Amino acid sequence: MSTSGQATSHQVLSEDVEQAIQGFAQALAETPVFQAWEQAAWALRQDETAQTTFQQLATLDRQLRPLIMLGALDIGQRQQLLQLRDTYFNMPVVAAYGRAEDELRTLCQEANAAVAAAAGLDLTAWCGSGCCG
Amino acid sequence: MIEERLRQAAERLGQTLRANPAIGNYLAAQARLEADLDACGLLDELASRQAKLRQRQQAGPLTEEDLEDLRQVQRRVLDHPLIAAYQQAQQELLTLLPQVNDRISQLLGLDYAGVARPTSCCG
Repeated sequence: MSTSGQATSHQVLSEDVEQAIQGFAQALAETPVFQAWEQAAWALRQDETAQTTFQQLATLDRQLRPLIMLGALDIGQRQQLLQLRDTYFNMPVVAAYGRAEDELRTLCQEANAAVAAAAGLDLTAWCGSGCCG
Repeated sequence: MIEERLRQAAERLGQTLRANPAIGNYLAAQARLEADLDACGLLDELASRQAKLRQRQQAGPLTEEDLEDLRQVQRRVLDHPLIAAYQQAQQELLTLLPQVNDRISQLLGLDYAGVARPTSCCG
């Protein structure tokens, strides 16, 4: 669990809310699912082949993005992109991260449902750009 | 199924938030608004006018009369005490709850709301 820094944002949170947040975050961080996700994320960051392939995929995607948006990829470009995506997402370390992330998402959604039931509202609905991105 | 310790910590966080004045105010303002037929009717009227004007706009520009009609309804909405109180309570939560999310996210090293948000919210 990250403990670095004291965000200015939490200065306006009351002491009881801050303590409850810390208790919740600690309980979540100490679950096997969360720790497995941290492990998988670390393994992915350490894997040079996966990182290199990801950079290649990101570069190719960026280059082809205008054509993708226009539906103007030719067969060769489409195959190149799909092959590189398949290569990346089928790497064991990437697939393992994907599974760990899915399990973490399920756990966080269940935990959040418990928070929402007790609070009377879902705090995630008030944060960010919304569920539609 | 979440572990008991996590479930208890989640409930404690939820109860603590529920006891926060901003959330209590919001839930009370929401309940008062939903119980008031006049206020709900006004909001329905506004939504209906907006939808009709959006449709008309596809056929051509709106007239000044169309816009003034809409503005009148908007003024009545903003002037309604229960609606104004609800919007004020909403604004307070829009300040508080992202800060709660930011703090949780900081401690966990991930975007909590991004991960914990229900995936079916768009139907």
